[in-house]
Amino acid sequence: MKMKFLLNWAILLVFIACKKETVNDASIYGTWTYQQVELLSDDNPKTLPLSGSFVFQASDRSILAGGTLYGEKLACVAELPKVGGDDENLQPFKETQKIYFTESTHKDNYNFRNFYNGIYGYEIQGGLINYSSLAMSLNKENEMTIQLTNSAASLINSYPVVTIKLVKQ
Amino acid sequence: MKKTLLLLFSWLVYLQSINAQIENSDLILFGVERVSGSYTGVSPYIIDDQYRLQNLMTWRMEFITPKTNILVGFSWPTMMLFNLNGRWDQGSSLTENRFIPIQNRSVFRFGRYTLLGNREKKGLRFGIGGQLHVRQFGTYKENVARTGITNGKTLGVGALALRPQYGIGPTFHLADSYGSLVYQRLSLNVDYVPGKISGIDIYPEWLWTVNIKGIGAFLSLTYRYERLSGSVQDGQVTTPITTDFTLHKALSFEFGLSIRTN
Repeated sequence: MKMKFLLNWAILLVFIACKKETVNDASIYGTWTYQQVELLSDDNPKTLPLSGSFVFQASDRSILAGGTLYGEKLACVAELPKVGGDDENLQPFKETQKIYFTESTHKDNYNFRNFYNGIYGYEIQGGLINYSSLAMSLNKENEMTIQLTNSAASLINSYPVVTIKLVKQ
Repeated sequence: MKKTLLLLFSWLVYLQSINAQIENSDLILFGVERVSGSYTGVSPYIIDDQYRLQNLMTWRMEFITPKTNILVGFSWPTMMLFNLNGRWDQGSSLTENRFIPIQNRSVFRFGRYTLLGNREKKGLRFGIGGQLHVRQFGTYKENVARTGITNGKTLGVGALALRPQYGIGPTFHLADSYGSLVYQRLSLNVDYVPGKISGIDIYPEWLWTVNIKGIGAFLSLTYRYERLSGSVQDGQVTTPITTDFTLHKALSFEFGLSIRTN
């Protein structure tokens, strides 16, 4: 009898312990802005001033491209940070696109701060999808870090990763 | 606020137990651990960052007598047992700003403390002893290839390289018991970590258990402050290491099931 009681406790504990956390997409809907762009690099990271916004919203359509489904749930009108110029004279600029997200590979995890790790895409001429990987971390209720990796050809090779910190308006 | 309430609650329990004396008992504790940590960076790539993660299914045994306290603790990546997706990295976390996978968990711990003074003494008892603590802490270099930042090169992560960390050192504690109902102790541990990456850890720890007819719960709070220096990687060519040490701070909150066998 006592063993059964113990076992029930243990099972209950396992259920509590293994509860995964999720970030509800709706909780990030709204306008988020950034004021600067961090360029990661092996030896010479830089921070450049550039302001822009991301407006997260429910996706209005889904796009199947290259075997990948974009926009099943989440979409965003994003002023994507880009960097042009050369190493000596970096020129940050924005490119406004409506981007569609794939399902996150971290859909449910044990750490809701890093709630998204996946691919985003936006349509270019002829219905082709330009895609890239992206990670999002909800640091606080109104603060999020986004890392865009190998995001576009406009990024010069020395800086393949861009990080921005978004604040909810 | 939650921490304040917990401390207040523990103090109330302490006041109730102040007139009791430590008795023989064996405790088995099964728990989960929540860790919130931050570290200072060592290179342009590994810079100041913070993380939060969960370690599931930690367990430990405490053998308590009026004269000694022996602690044996384990933690293993039981995520594999319970995670149907088989993801290897669920026991780790991505850091908040750089999205670098990091792991911080206890692997094995053994401690033996001697309680000083009269074994008939009621109330708090002061103890002194030593312990061996094996931990797994650091960042995954593999991530670097995953994010594409290195273009296939190796990045130096300095003292934050993931590896087992063998710590050994003295510990001081205040222990207190109330019959077979409550056992609590407040410990101050100091660990020296030898090796290519060497370090000093200082971590106060508070453990509180309550058992009714052998079954109960436990809470444990640990604040770890450690200074790690060195590197296990030869030739930091692609990423210059700007400092050879890192300061790591972590608050861990552990709770779970407590079983008292006598």
